[in-house]
Amino acid sequence: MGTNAPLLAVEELSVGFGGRGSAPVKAVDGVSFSLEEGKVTGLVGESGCGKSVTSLALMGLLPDRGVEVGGRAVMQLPKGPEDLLALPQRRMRDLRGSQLAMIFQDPLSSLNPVVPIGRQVTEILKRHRGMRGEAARKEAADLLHRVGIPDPTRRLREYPHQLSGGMRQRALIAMAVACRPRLMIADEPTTALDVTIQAQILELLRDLVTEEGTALLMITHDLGVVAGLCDDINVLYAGRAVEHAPRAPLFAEPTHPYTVGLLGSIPRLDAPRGEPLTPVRGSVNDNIAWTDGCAFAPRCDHYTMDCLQGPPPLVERDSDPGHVHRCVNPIGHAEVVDRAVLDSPAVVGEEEDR
Amino acid sequence: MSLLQIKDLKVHFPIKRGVLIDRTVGHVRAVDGVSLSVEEGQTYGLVGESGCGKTTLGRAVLRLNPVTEGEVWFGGRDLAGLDAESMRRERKNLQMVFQDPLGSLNPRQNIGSILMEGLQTHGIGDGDDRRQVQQDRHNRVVEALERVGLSDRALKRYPHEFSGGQRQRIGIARALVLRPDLIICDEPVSALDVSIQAQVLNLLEELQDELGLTYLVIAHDLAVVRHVSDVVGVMYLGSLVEEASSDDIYATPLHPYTRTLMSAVPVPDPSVEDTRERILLAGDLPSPADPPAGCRFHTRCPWRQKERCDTERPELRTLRDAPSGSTHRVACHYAEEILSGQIQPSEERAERIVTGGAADGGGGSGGAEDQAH
Repeated sequence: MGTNAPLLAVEELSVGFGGRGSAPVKAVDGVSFSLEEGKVTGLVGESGCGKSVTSLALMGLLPDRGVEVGGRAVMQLPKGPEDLLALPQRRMRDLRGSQLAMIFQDPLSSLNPVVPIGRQVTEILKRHRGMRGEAARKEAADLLHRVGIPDPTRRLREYPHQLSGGMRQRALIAMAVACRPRLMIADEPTTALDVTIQAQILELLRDLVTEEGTALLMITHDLGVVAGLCDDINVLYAGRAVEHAPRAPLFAEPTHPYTVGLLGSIPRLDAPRGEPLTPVRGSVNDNIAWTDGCAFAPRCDHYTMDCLQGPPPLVERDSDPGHVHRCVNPIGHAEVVDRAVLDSPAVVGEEEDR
Repeated sequence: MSLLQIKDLKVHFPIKRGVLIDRTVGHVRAVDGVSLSVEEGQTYGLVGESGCGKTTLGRAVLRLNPVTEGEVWFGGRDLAGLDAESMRRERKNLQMVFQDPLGSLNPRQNIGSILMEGLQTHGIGDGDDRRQVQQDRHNRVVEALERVGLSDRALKRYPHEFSGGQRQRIGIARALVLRPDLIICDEPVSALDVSIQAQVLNLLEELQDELGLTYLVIAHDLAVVRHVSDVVGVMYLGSLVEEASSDDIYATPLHPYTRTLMSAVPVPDPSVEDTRERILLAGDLPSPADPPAGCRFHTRCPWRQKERCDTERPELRTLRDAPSGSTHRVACHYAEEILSGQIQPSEERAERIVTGGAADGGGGSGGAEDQAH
């Protein structure tokens, strides 16, 4: 910890994808959060909410053309704080892998299929730590051993297709931690894996954060994973954070109707059986622009005319500082509109016209 | 009387090698001796990790995969023994909903034509002349669409115009339009977003209530399977390791693999997450081409005992002291001893069992707890 400033402070990050002759599509629209060392911050949301684009923007991996990135992401680097979004590509290349590292979702497609694992791991050691030959190979074997790959010296000679899914993800994690980065971004690291393997990988990430004091940004759609791993959680919807809270209050008293809907959508292993799920109706396509009002309003059971009066601001709860939501009519404030009426097929069918 | 009864089903895929002549060098034992029965009007959930053979089993019931050995009894007939044409006719009573809603719909066919195809193939439709039959078919298609929450406006549209959830609804409508007795749902929600997942699960349940359907649901997500099923079967490496009503399987999982699987499913509640037991398995699934001798799970089982587990393959059985009529069956030699705590997990693998709190003390998660209270 040491310093007062957080390791990475993201302020009003926005990413727009330009289209020829049409207005840019805002994939991320003013997202702010901060990452601290030894803590796990979660970004949760469904597909299309902008969580992956956020991570790509922070890593500087978005293409130069056709993309507008706005906002600031100030990171405490050894030589003083710097804005990641304003750094030139050359500097970012030095930082990626050494200060920032990323674990991608699909371990097979993010490893080079025609290069042995060993060379892919030592590549980072060569580039950032200047290691060569035998020393680099030994370090690579140590890394693989640390992430729980048995018989690492043999594995170093193998190709990605010879490894199982869990093993590939471990190899990716080994590459990510090779230079002891202070910040790691994990973009859906367990989505492609089986649940018992997922448990292994989550345990490994948890250990890395505890032992190394790395800051971890965990991007996932799975609220169960978030509940076990993250300290702070941001729920994203249509490119904006709709709720932010430490994990205990977020799960105990969610206030934004979207968070409540997400929690109601998940069949829980420990819940009594026979209760129907209470999902959010409609689909992500039913948004309105944030400039017109709350993007979630068309799917919300709580919406009033106030919701359509311009973009709702982020409000901090009076009773619970640190718990922020973007809603003018939060849960616990109003009665739920009768679900039965809203869930009728006619409402579901309306989106066909879009 | 059970609607579907599978007896000792085996599906083995040959592994071929050779340049000019294909030699069979071995077999992948995808499904290796599974027996189960699905009662009418109920949902049977089949759960397991990738590679355990659950999808192959579902497809083998419909004979989309060749059956190597065993019997599949449905409506008084053994499907495994039918010739291709009789099987094709029989399929109007057994339908399937596939995992990938876009991949299982022809992109060049509109929804009306996709739904109509089954009716045409099976010659379903009442009426005296062609026009009346067409009209009847049209009505059936629209009825199926409305049941899944879409309207007849969808008929002239193409699959790419729909969202993932709607495509899955169309997939369900395609199965429904033939009014089958049994629907096999292969990972019906795994490709969908969380909120859409719940909509589809609710829809499946409503349809069952209205139409008295029987489902065989195949999924990897234990929480989903438990939510929709009356009976749950857990598969590991081609065979069933445990079968029980979905309440029993959660209350008292008997097989070590079921316990592991159960402990690995994350629960969206921090207080549960911090306290629950997590059993971490060592290693990966062994290859189904060369499955371990004896109990298939013994290579990874923390409760493994000497000799018997390595050599003798356990049969699915009820507990020795179980009341008669118990439906809870398990394939483990030492289920009773493990349940009573007589056998403890072995020392070398015990470190992989994380009891909450101790492991979660660090990691900063404690900090969040402090703020909460």
